[in-house]
Amino acid sequence: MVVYSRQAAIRSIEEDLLTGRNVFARAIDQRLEHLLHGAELLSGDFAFKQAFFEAADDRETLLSALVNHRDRIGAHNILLADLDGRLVGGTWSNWGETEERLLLAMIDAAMETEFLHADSFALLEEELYALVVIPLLAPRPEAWICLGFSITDEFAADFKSTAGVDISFLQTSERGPRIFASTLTATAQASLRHGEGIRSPGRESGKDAAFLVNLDETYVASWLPLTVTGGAGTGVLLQRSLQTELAPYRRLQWALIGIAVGGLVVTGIAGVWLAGSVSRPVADLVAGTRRVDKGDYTTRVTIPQKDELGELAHSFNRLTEGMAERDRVRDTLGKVVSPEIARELMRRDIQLGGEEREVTVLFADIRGFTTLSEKIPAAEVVSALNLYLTRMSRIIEEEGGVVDKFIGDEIMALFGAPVQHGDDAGRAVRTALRMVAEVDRLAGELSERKLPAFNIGIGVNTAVVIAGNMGSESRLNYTVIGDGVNLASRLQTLTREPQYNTRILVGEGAVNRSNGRFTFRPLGEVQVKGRQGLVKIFAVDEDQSSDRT
Amino acid sequence: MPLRFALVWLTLLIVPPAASGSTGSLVFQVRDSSGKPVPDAAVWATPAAPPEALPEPEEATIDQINKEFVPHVTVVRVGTPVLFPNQDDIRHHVYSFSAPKRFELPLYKGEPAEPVVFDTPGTVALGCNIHDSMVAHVVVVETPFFAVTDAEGAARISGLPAGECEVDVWHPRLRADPKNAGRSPTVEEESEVLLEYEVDLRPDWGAPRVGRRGGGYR
Repeated sequence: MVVYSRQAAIRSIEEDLLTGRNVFARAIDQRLEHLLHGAELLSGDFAFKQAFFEAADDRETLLSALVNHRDRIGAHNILLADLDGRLVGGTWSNWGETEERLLLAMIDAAMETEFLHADSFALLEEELYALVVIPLLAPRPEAWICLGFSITDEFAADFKSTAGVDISFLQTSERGPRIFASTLTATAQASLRHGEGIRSPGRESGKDAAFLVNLDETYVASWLPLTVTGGAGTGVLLQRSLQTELAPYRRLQWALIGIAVGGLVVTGIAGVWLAGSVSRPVADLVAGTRRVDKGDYTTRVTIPQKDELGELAHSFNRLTEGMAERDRVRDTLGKVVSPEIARELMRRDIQLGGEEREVTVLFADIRGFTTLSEKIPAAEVVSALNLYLTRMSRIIEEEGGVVDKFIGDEIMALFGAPVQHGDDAGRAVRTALRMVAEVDRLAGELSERKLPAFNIGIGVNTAVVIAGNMGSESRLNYTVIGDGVNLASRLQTLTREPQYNTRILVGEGAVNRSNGRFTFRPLGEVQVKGRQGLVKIFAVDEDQSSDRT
Repeated sequence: MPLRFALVWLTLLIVPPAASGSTGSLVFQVRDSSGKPVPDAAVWATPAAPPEALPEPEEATIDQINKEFVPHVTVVRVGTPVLFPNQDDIRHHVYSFSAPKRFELPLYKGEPAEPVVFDTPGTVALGCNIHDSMVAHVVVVETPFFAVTDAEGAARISGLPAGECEVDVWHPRLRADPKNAGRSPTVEEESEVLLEYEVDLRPDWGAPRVGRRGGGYR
């Protein structure tokens, strides 16, 4: 880029130098026109004409008028000569033969023009002058007026402020260039005087081509020769520093570097920020899902961002809460119905209807409950009842049974529905045995609390029944119905009969299905209410262990 | 040249005046170096035998019309009073610094009070001080025989006595004496002599204008 920009800079300066030449030509033209203007006005001045014609007697008046007019115009010097070019009066201090010849040459040139004007550069008194000559008309040419301004540093500076390039007026010579005026610094000028680069300027490829000059800095320069009477080899050197021209490119270079570095820094910061606002939240969400997977529904993920990730966390939390809610519902449901039923209910769409199944049904009832409730305060009765029901329920569930319902103080339990274990009858019998043992234990606790004890009667039967959701669309109950169910309930009632001497009565189905793990005492056949024919009933003696197989 | 005129005149005074017989004419045709006819060239003839005493010169008039002097070139005999009537609505300031007659008519309208008497032979250039383009020339001669060439560059001087005479030509832009200057043709009675002149003229200088490109500078 540096190489490219250097070329571009050189070309840019070349263009400016070209413009500079035009500006220079125009500047000179304007100055000369200014002088001509002034001279023309002087030429038309009647009093001045008079002064001229009376100069033979009164030269001082003429000279003073000349000086006055020079100052009015702002020229550096003024001169009046007769038609033969001989000096009548002027402000140049040395006016000799050379100067006379110069003037005559200009007069001759003027005579060839329509308006009798001529202008020229000339070397006068070691200074570079721009001169104009015009005639004093009265009304024909009677004399010649010459006005000049010398090229000074001031003019050069004025030019530079317009054209933006450095300018030097110099005359080449063997000893090195002679500088009349310049905008270059003193160092650069000194370098110019001693340097070699200007000895033959513009003689490289093409007369008007720009070339490089090394002074205090490197410049791109252009040479414009001037025709100067008495000053051969004089010309104008326009130039501009390459460094200055390249400065914007260099600034651009630094700017680009800055942008690149800035871009890297910004990217770095963005990356860190992104990590913060994307990666970590994602990690948090993943950790949250892992916790949920392990069963922690209380977990919540906090992402305080207003973007998609924040929404995701929000959704995650709602989801987890939903699952926790479902858990709560199931828990609650499990408290209302047994956990297995709850699971069964939640597993499938709840539908009314049932299926035929072999189920072992167990009914357990408290003896003497009503008398109990008369004697003791209601709160204590409920407390005792709940204690009993809790204990009984736990045993039922431990044996894989399901508490169907509590009918007041009566418990109805199912073994083999909704889940079959294969040995549901045996489980039911074992449950009955454990229940009576527990009641005895409970009696002891209650008497310690100065509460009366109660007894229990259990009926167990295995039969094919209808199991399923019974009830209405909005309120239903998983239960079993059928003959076998009624029989189990009847058996429970029969335990009241003292002649049977048992707290547990079992039907034939259960006996058969329990695979001889227990000892049953047959009690004969009885007439069961609501059923035709006789039914075999059996007692379960409590002295056998409720062992688990 | 004035000296020559004077000498000739003096010499001729000694010679008795020639008999007032028939007269002849001189016809002049003036051209420039490229052959173009030259208007406004002053021509005059001085006979070797001068006529008898001449009357007082009549008044001559140079008008100012439309910011111009009309005619541009006028020839008058020494001692001629010249009037400069201003026909314009604006005033003019007529002046001349020429040695034969230096005069000034400060800004005026209409007729000036007095005519200007040109009492010295020579050429006078006059102008208007406030209108640079107004220039006129007056050629003051000793002889009463003179004319100014017209647009065709032709002029005729009649009434000349027979015999030799000296002839002169002058033009404001004359660069040098024309060839055949100072000729002495012979006038013949009742006839014309054609004289052709070629003059080398300077280019026509325009009046100075303020600012070559028009519009002023700051």
